Amino acid sequence: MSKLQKSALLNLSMATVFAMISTACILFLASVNAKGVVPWLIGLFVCVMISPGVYVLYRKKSFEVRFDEREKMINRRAFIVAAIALAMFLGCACTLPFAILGGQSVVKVYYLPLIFIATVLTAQFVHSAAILVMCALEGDDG
Amino acid sequence: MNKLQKIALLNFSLAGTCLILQLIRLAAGTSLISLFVSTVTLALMCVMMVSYFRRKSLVKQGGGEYDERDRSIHTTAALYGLMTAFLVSFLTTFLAFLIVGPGGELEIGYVLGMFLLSANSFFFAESAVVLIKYGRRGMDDE
Repeated sequence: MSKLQKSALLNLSMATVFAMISTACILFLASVNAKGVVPWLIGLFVCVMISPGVYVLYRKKSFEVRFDEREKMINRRAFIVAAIALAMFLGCACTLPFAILGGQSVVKVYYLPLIFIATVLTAQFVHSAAILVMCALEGDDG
Repeated sequence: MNKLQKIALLNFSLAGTCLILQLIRLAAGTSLISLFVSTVTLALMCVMMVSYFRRKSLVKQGGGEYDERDRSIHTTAALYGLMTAFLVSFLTTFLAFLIVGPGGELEIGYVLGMFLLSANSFFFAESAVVLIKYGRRGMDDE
């Protein structure tokens, strides 16, 4: 398994874990109907506390690796596919409720961050999956 | 001014108009004005999409009008556009969540507006970066 594939797997697992944690936090905030600045200050404090650890881990596993030309090309193609998937997912998530429920309906505001997290997770998933698939295909060809 | 710059200028002016219209819609609030402004925004976005695909066809045709530097400029611009759209999407989600509170409700049009605003921001930032980069290139050539 190449460094790019390992990086893709790590990104995929980390994005999944953080999306699950974020979703749980948002649902908790919604259940207690937290309002105002205090929950956000707590969230900011937690982010400040855990971000150095995440940075060290991420940098060690991902940013320091040096890809060759073939891996860079795969990464670039995967990024384009992920950007298209992101745009399509966000478009569907924003327009389909409008089309299905009608323009006069209302939605719970906690759906917005859920849509946002789902979009980011989808983009990360597609990016990592595209890298793994393209690496596997190139491996088969080689 | 080459064709790519003209398309970027058209997209920039259209996206700027769309952003101003979105702000007017936000300020107006009434449903009739909101409906009118939304229709005009959608029409302008269709024009933007057509000119965007026109640029894609120009790129596919190749020839002397599109070299490696143009490709680099457009890749960088697309990256900036994506970053801006991502940031705008995050801010609209965050602000709505912060102002209304997790237990609150929003009109479903807000979700659609969020998507339109993100798409407009993408086109606006992308066109602006293309124009800036071509401007700098022109200054370098002189």
